[in-house]
Amino acid sequence: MKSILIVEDEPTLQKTLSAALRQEDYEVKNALDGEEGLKMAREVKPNLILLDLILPKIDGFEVLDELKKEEETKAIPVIVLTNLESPQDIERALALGATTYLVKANYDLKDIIEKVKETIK
Amino acid sequence: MEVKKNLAKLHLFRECADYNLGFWECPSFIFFVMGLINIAVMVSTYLIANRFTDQPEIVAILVIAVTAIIFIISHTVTQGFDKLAQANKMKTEFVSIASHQLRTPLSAMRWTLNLLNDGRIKAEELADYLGLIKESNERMIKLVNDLLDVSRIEMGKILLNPRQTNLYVLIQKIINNFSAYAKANNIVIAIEASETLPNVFADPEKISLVVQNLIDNAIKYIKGKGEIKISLESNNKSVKAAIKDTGVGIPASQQKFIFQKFFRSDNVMKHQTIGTGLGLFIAKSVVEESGGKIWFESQEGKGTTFYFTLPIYQ
Repeated sequence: MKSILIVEDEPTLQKTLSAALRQEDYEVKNALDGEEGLKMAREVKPNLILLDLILPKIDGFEVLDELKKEEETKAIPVIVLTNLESPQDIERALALGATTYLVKANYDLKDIIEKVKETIK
Repeated sequence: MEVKKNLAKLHLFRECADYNLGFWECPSFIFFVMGLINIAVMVSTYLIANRFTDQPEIVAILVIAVTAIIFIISHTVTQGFDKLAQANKMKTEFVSIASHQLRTPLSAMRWTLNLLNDGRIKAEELADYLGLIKESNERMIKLVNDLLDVSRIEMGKILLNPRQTNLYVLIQKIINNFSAYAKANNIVIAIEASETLPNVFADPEKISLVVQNLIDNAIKYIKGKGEIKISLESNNKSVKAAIKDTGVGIPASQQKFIFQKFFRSDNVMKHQTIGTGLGLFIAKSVVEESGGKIWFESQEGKGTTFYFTLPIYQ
């Protein structure tokens, strides 16, 4: 079973996203802040990471940067899932190595699931 | 003129372009012009000095005086424009922060509705999901109300309905409402006050908002385990409330901005916070309109204590 790590500090978003992914038979792990996110990525080595950008402790950009620098985690695809939507933020995330950048408010759960399936075939 | 335009497009005045400030509103441009004027004045004083060569002291004093005046004027002028630029910047940031704040509960509602629509939710989970929608909805309502409060305050039309209010009872109620949230964050809230605490003359709904905001901030800025101590005391004119937390404190460099609209402490990203930076601005306006004062003491790493006073009901 493929595993997905969701790094998201908003409880409702985390709950609904996890529920939807579990319904699709993915194993879902949750991290509530940047620090925990990095730690779990290194430990669990998921097939995909869904990463929010505004996070407590360490923000998403820093997490992404670290992930892409480390041997063990750099190959894990990262989909940035955030409500920040300025072109600079998008550019920065993609430049740091994110596979895709999605603005949460613009997508239904099923659209996100589709993107997830596309990324980890 | 072409040369001037091209010169102007260089780095020199880029910051002003960012804020959409015209040349004459741009501090760096004004400084540039002041510099040119300064040089021109220096040159003319030299020329004038040549006519008074037998009284060099006069010339020296003239030069110093004129330079000092120019310096003072340009300094005050740039200060003023700096404030303008900052205000403009905050306004734009506000719109983007507020819409960002709205996006979170909107996404939460959208996704919860997605799940409910799909029909794959078990019956026993239904209540939970409906609760999530309710929460998101309440959050958006609060945000809109805060925005309305702020705009009323700006127009000087804040709505206050003051009456005899028991501050101890009011705060106790709020503490009860916060108890689950505080417990979940490993925080203990305690209140103490003398038996004979007099009632205050204030609008209980608005003061509730103030207290809620102060307690909410205290909880949000406490990392890990902590405690919040609330104490009430009075003198013959007013009742003073102190809300003391063992949180991360406010960095000294930011303390003067704390009550400003939309201002949020730098440690926002690092400490979980959901807020628009409007709470303290509203709190200050409410307390002052009610005839009281609000202030704080804070040390980074040790904690913060917020104080406010309200007039006693006569």
